[in-house]
Amino acid sequence: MVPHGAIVLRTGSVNGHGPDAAVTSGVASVRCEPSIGDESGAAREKTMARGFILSPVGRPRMVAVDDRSTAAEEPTGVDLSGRRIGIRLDQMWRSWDWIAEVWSAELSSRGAEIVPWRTGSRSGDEGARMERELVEFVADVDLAVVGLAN
Amino acid sequence: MVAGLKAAVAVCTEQFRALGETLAMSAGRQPLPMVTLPYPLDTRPEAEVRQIAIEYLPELLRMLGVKA
Repeated sequence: MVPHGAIVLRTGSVNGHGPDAAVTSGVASVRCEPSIGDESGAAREKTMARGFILSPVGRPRMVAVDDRSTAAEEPTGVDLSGRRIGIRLDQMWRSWDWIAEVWSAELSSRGAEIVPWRTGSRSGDEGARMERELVEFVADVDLAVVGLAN
Repeated sequence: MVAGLKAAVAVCTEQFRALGETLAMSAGRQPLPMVTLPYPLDTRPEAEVRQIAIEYLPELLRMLGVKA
């Protein structure tokens, strides 16, 4: 049953587009509340032009969330002593600050120098400044731990 | 590691793992070493979050190539 005001969408494929393309075809069926002054009180079904949307997003590689073993090679015994480790922070997630604090202390105890960098807005003048700072940040570190961790 | 590029480890929560994979793939950076933390994280008490940080520290070190 279609609720009032709802537009029914079907997913499926469209000729000429492969299975990787996320395609949504719109079924132009809309149920509307009775208009003011319509004494019949009956909901009406109206039609709309049909269209489809191609999603530009690629199909993600399916990996199990807990399958951490696929994410990196086995440790090779990297010595962190003297390494400059950048940690990217943001202004949104205090939990990530706490995580980063704990990890920074441990990495420091292993001889690494922690280089924190906190991002700001990505638009306007501040966004331009963030772009410059990001380039400087990457150039300034040996490796980076890039968090969002929301 | 390719000369001129820096090693990086991304950190996200379970909820955003697939998005992170997709973004990394779109940028040609797959596989991207990624530490995946429990979700939600930001609603947890500070002490619990810090404990999670301790629990996942070995994972971070492994991603960095450090033998714990």
